[in-house]
Amino acid sequence: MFGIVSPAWLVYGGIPCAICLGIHYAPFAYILIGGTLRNMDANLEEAATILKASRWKILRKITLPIVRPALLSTVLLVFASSISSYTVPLFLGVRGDFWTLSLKMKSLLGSGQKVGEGYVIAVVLLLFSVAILLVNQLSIGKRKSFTTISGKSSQVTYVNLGKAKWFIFILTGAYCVFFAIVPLISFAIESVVQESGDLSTFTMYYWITGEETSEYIQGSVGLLRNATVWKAFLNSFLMSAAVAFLAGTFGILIGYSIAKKRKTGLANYVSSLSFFPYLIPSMSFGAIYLAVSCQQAFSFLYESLFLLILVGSIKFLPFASKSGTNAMLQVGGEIEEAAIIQGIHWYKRMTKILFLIQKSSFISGYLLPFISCMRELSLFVLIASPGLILTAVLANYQTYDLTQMSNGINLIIILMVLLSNMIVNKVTGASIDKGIGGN
Amino acid sequence: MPEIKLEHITKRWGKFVGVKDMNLYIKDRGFITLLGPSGCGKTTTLRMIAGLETPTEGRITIGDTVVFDSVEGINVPPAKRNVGFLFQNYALWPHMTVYDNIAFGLRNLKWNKEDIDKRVKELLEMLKISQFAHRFPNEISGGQQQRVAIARTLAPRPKVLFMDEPLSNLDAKLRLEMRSELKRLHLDTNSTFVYVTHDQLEAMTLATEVCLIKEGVIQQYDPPLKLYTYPNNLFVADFVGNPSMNFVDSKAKKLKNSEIEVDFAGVKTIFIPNEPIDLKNEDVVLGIRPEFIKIVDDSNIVGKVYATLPAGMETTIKFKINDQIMTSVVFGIIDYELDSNISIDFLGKNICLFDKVTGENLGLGRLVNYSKK
Repeated sequence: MFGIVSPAWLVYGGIPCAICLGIHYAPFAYILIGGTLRNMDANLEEAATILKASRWKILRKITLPIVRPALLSTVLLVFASSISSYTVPLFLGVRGDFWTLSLKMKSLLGSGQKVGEGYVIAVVLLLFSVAILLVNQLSIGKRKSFTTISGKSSQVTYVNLGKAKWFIFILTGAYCVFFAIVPLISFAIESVVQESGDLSTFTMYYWITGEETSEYIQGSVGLLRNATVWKAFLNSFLMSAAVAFLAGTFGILIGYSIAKKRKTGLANYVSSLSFFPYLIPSMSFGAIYLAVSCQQAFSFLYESLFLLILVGSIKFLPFASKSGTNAMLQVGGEIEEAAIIQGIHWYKRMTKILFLIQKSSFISGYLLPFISCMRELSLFVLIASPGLILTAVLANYQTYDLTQMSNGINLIIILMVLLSNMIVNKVTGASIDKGIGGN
Repeated sequence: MPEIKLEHITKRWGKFVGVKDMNLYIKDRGFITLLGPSGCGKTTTLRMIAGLETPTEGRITIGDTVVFDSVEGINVPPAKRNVGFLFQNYALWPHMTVYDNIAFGLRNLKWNKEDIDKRVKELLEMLKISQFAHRFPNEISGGQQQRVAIARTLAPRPKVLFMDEPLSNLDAKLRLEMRSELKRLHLDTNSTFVYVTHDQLEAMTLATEVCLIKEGVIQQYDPPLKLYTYPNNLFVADFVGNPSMNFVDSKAKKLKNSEIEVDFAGVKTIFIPNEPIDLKNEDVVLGIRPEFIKIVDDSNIVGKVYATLPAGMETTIKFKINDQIMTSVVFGIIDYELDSNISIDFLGKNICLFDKVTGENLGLGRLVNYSKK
């Protein structure tokens, strides 16, 4: 497309996987580190300015050390997520003969004979994450741990970027266009052309045809008539909604209990426990539940939507509980106590007072699992049958090289995510980044 | 020598005016406080002098150097203004020990190791925090953090020291203690202090001059006791002093010999000004400090005790004359029964007469009972 032919090594293999994952996790890093930076008191830097420290020195000696814990956890968490990532290597790695642990695991678990080896990989991945978690805990030594939020006057001072302003503007603008808008358009285009990148072969064939587009997949008719796709779409939606409801509600409740018992050992324990599912690689997580559902006693779970909801709501609980906890901690205890004194029932306190005060944070607590769930594949790939949810359908079409069909499905997923985010945003004023402590 | 001059300083954010055409002269080795209610522009003024905030218009001079001039486009960065700044929340760097916090500025100035060590130890000693040298800021109490912040600011021996409500995060007892230490520090360091506070008592007790600001405009710039006895207007009179001044709305009528008849709450009194007064309106406000109202055995003015607040050293009495509530302070261990009648008289020559319309102070004088005259 666009007449630029990329060399093969830049399209498939290890390097593109790395680039792609890097871009994928950039917003994550932005939210984590940006949140810390935003909470950092400008006075800390001003104090150094007054003492004649240069800008570079301030950055090196003051700013970076203060955000270092956040920086380090981000690096480690991204590392942990990347090592077990499945989706990106699936699309970009396989054809470049770039096999990752998670890809290997999927093929082993799917093979039927070497299932044991697959579980071994799942355990290895799990151990990796635990090791990273330990490193993270150790590096944030107890004595030097500090909160950056301090006292009353948090002055906000804007840095005058001078001429660099335009440079940064163009750079970030180009970044957005290249990584957000171009892919969207190209998905749309790719789903309506016969030959990749050749607009003269325009056709709506893959959207509306009644013929089977692939001999390997049954019922692989045009996307708009494709019963499998629509059913999967509905399933995806239902599952995401259920997961969002469960995870979000539990997140609020966890947040509430942590806030109530703040600073006690139990609260810290619950808090770290609720974050634990996040650190388990999605694939290992899926493997665990695959193992569970293969047991005789739990066979009713096997490849059922219910299992997906169960897995999803546990896996995405950390986001929800994090935003729930943040929101609850912000509401002072007195606000609730004022209601208790007046004899207002617990349920009413929750719904009429606490929820309304922190409405936008709580809603993002629901929104986050919903969106993550809509687009999640690696978590479900082991436990969902190929036609059950939209991302699984996508993976199936991709396996059989049906570019147009998979691009079309991809477009549907992306639009769905953007649309739901936009609707919630408009209706409630909540946004995702508010949830993860980035307010 | 570091005297500071502000000429026609204005700060605007969009349409909002934070500081309006301010002129201020701070003399060398003064200790001045910028006082005013929150949001009046005092912190902004301080940050503009320090260079942390850029004025929209005007000119600032520190010593012989023009550090800011909007017309000539001069704006010296804060690092080159040779000033110290003490922040309200101390702004200690959480990842450095107390020692490193203090030493940071000196290392920046490329002092050699022994000198730094000597200076830091001297400051630790002076502020009595030697035992905390190797702790991190989150491991010491608020009062100790405060001292570390002071030590860090003093380390490079700045000739001008700016302080932004440095005591407001401390408890009442510690605050009192730190006040006298700051005053001592001012003498010992031989530098100019500019101090921002919203606490009038703090401003009065510390400063050589108080600059009272309201909505970005200086209301009065005078030594504290002058501010107290001769407030320029109703706002100053009300802001300074605790318990605050009694304000009594009354009608004025000029008599012979520049004497003025003032009636309030059904009481007829005569105001004898110290110097002749130019009376423009008949609506005036009498300003009477609580300590100028004396409770006597017998007089024509009788009030009813509304509430008493005995504090040991003195007792504050609120009483009613008809519907007018007034406050008096009586020294000594004394209390009055509620709803009992008391007779009062007015003391001294420092009772103020304000124009009700403009709020301007017309002059000081005596207040005497009409019938006694």
